[in-house]
Amino acid sequence: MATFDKLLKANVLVRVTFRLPRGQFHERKIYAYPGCLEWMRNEIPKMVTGRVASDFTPKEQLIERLRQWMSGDPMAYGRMFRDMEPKIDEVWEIKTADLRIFGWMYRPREFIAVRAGYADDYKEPTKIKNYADERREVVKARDTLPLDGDKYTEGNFDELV
Amino acid sequence: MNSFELEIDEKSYVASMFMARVANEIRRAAAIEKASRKITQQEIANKIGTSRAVVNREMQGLENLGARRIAELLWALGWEPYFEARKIPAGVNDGPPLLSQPVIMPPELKTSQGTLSLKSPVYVSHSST
Repeated sequence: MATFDKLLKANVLVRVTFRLPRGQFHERKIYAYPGCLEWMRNEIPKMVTGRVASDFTPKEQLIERLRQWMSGDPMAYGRMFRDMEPKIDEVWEIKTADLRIFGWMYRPREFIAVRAGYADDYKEPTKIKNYADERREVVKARDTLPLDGDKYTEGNFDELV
Repeated sequence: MNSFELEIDEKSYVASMFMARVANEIRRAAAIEKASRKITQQEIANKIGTSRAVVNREMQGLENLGARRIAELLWALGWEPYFEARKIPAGVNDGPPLLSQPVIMPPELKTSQGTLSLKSPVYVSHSST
């Protein structure tokens, strides 16, 4: 078992940061598993918008949503951030038009991203993934994470975000 | 590697952030009007002569709205746009853009516990001027 700092030093988790605009400060944090980080770094830049035909590229969507998260800007429950069913699992999802990021709240305002995917992959007729699998993978990752103390924080949107 | 900084080219960052800000402002206005006089997307669509689906996409922030459409949407809500261009102060053009516009979206936001009450926008001041 290890402290959270040790897991960061061992790169089991990586803090994701972003240079916020002048006048904004890091009010919330996001950490990612290496696989999820690789997806952000290498896969998203190659993506194009899907059936929603957004005028934002997926990378722009990610950056803007993370800017909102990190800067402490309001997040709209449902459209931007939501807890997955069943809520007892305490798995949360960050959403953009084309992207889905699944993880859990380690502490209020601290999100750990485990899995991620392209929104159209979860929708018929191009469905190749499903939300239940992602939720299970998040729970499995959390259960097996060798972290001392409480691994996650329970609470509703207003308390955690 | 204890942390990783995501990067995006400045041009794309500035553009996407401004687009998102415009959409957020329209949603904020719409939420306030919805809360105060129950205005619907269908009513907005009727006023500007388009479909509810189009208004919904625009409100979601999926579209790069033109100046005309921004004005039309806000007019339909009984609001008006306010825009001001400003020269970036010398020496501070090497970082992400300064924010000095309202950054708080409405309090409309549905939460898992219901709907939040209305609050005033919060303004972020110039920190580097």
